[in-house]
Amino acid sequence: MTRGYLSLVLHGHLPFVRHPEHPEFFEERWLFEAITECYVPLIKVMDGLLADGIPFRFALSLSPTLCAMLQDDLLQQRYLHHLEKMQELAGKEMVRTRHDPAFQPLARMYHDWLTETARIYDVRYGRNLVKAFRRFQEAGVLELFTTCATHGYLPLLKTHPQAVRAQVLVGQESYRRTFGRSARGVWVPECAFYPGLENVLDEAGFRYFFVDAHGLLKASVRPHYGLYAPLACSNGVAAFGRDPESSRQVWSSHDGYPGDFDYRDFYRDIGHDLDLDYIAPYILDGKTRIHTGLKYHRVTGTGDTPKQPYDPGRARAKAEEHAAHFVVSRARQIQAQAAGMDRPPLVVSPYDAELFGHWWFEGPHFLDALVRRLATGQDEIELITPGDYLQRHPVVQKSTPSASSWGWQGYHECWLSSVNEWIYPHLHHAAKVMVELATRFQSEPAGSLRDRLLRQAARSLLLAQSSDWPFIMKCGTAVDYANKRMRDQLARFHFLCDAAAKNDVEERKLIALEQMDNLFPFLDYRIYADTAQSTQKPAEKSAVAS
Amino acid sequence: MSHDHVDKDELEDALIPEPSAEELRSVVEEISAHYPPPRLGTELVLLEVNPHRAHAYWTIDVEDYRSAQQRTGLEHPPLVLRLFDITDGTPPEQALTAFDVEVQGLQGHWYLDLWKDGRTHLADIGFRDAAGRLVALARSNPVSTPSAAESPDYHTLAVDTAHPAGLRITDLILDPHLSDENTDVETGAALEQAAPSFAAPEACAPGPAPMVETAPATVAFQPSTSDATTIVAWPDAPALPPPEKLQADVQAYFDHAAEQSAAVPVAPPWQGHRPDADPALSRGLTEEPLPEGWPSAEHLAQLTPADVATPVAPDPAFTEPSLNQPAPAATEPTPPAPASAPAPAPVSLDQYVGLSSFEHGRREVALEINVELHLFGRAKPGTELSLYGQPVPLRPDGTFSIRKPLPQGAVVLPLLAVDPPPASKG
Repeated sequence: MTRGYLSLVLHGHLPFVRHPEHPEFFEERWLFEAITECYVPLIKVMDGLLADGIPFRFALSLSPTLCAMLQDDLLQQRYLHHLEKMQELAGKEMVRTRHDPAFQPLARMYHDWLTETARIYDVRYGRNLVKAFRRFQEAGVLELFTTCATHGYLPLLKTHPQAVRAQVLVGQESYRRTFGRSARGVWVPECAFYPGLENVLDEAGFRYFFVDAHGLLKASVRPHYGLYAPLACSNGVAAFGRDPESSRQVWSSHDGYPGDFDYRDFYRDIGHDLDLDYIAPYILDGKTRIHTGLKYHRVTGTGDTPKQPYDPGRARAKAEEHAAHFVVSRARQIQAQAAGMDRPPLVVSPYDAELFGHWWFEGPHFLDALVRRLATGQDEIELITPGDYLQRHPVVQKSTPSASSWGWQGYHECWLSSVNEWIYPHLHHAAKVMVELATRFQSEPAGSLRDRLLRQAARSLLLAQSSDWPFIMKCGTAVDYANKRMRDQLARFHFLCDAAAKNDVEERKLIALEQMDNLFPFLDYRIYADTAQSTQKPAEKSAVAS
Repeated sequence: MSHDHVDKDELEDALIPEPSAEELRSVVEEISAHYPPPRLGTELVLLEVNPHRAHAYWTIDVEDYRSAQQRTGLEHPPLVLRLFDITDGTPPEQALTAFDVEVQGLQGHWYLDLWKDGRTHLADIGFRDAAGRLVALARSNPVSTPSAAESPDYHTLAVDTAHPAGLRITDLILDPHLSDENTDVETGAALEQAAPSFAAPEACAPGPAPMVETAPATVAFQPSTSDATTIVAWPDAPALPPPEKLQADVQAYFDHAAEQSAAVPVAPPWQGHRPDADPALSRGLTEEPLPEGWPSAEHLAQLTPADVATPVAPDPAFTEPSLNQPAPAATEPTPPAPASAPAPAPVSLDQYVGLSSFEHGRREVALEINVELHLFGRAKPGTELSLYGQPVPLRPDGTFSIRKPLPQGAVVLPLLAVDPPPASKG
């Protein structure tokens, strides 16, 4: 008998890192690594479960920028090239380690794994992984949903409501065009919610979203079931709260599963270990050492403990053990809550999809083992998606979540601090300019020069608004790149707006920008128009050069 | 339409070669080089950071700046952010609480620490004239901070999420006093708390932490712990807590503030005067000179070790330095004390705390930054207020304003308020 539900929610997102202006570009590897280590392994897990007739239901959000990149011809070609190089390296490694009994099986493992990845990617799904995810949705095992257009951090964009509205509506429209239906759910970027946002979500047709635990627990009215049932805003859009216990077990770098000594060590990589001459063809510019993805060691221990060779069999066994632990933990959680509830408790466990496989190499196997364990030998916990839950339990307590995020400190500190605060005056000003131009030129004929300029300006604005840039600035990881992307997108935006105001541009430049930032081909800048002010007040200061 | 027909424009489009990577690179590099973000007009924007903090940024046109400056009639009027609490829809002009933060620059930003969570604020930026009135340059958007406390108690409305309009349909909550969450609903027996049949977590350290032995409590029944940092009594608030509690609260607050402001200096909040009859932005916040004996940072920087034991007179020319702005033009560096200088006389704890940045300043360093704490607020008129046992002078209306240099590291400020004796009956 089902006593409670578990909702596994994965959020797949990467910023738009397409760079056709360079023959090779380091940040495109973010996508390539995620395809190899995360998306293809997840697809492989779901294929395997389907083939074995194991019932399961996952929820997966795929961001519009990720979908755009997965479907992009140029990036598909470049990924295949990248994969070929990886296979070549793994082949060389098989030869290099032929006398090393510890590492030779690992080199072979990587070679086989990459060959299998190429088969799934190129042959089985025709280089378009979006097709694979759509197939799982149609098979009834995956509930796909979406996020905002470029993962904009909405609470810090809301000074111009049209900017928030465009992020949300373009996200839904992108999903509709990609998957042929509307998404019921939305991953509000970084779980960053503020009261009032539910109205925009409702306008876009979304029926549910997610907040962090404190967002639900500090809702306008105390949640009767704590985190174990969603709340609904007064317009009926439901909010699911992240369960902190199951999050910690997977997320925590200290006491979470991925830190287990038997798992593969993320940081020890042959890109840093081997002779430069040998590894040069597979690293950045042949000079700068980077992760290649071939890693031969396990976490082993803390501190300066010498790293031991990775043992895949042992790691897989540990992943299965952890999956069993996860199931037992949820069962206890549910058992404790079910006594006081008039409906089965729901545990919502959302994670970044890229955690599984990329950061936590054994993560996909953990998911596989988890589903198999839930499907066999127990009937207390049922895997459910948020959409399914709302269909089964449509009457939900009315209460609006509190403003919150899932970032450091639970609010907006991560995206607004001394290292990234400089971006907001520019983002807000750009939104103001966009609204002004969209309002002024609402009647511009489709396909005209100005129409194209403003559509492209809207794309640049959306790309500048990505929450990834301030996040990277805060984390200090790829700060130069994040700063450059922000400045470049703002420069392109102002160039395009100036040209639109004058209705004059050197068309080659416009074509170049259209080719560079080629996502959202359907985007209509009029989404920014302020319908309440369709005629500009003459006395008002204009933010746009005339 | 015939498939053989080819539109002339389509043909021309088809003949346009796609830009090469080189051309793309050339275009984007040119655009990035020639289109820096434009200079912004006069505006002030507030953003929420967390329940107790907001962020303000502003830009001011030079012409606006000069014009407003002239209207004050002062040569160097202070540029201030004036923050209004408009939580209950109160117009800013009638806001019960407001405070000023002195700022600098045509373009800048500030993190504002707020006493209370769950409030709505709005700010003006402008020059404060001699009467305390504000010659405003811009007004911000309102910003609402979330509550740091738990949700208010239940009420029982539910919505049907399946209904297109999310129609309210029914009372949902059956019984807020749920049965014991550690009791089996069917048997009534206590749920087993023993570890599950899973390999002990320590076997794979640093893997998962030990199992949670107690199920997460139903949050609905936890008592509220809100307002833990509210330490100042307002006219309509209950009496101040006992001194020990007050001291503990002060310490907790400053520990919290120190943690919060490690990276970015923050402005201390202050509950200002109730607005007087002046309309709009014309009411002011007065600030009295420093009480005698409280040295300014500038004075401290100019002291020699021999001066340490000497009381320091307030600097009449003192202007509050901005904590969050680029440093002003460099001044003559204070020469390090000569090695032959006499050792400072022993100082009291009070002076040590107050002068410790000077203590650090005696060493020769590449860069020294001193921070001054401006404590200001108000108490019931007649209250005896003391800091480190030193009396803090209160103005007739109960407000006070003192400045102390901040030492390095954590600091405890034992601020003690003693109620005035009850008035004797005639």
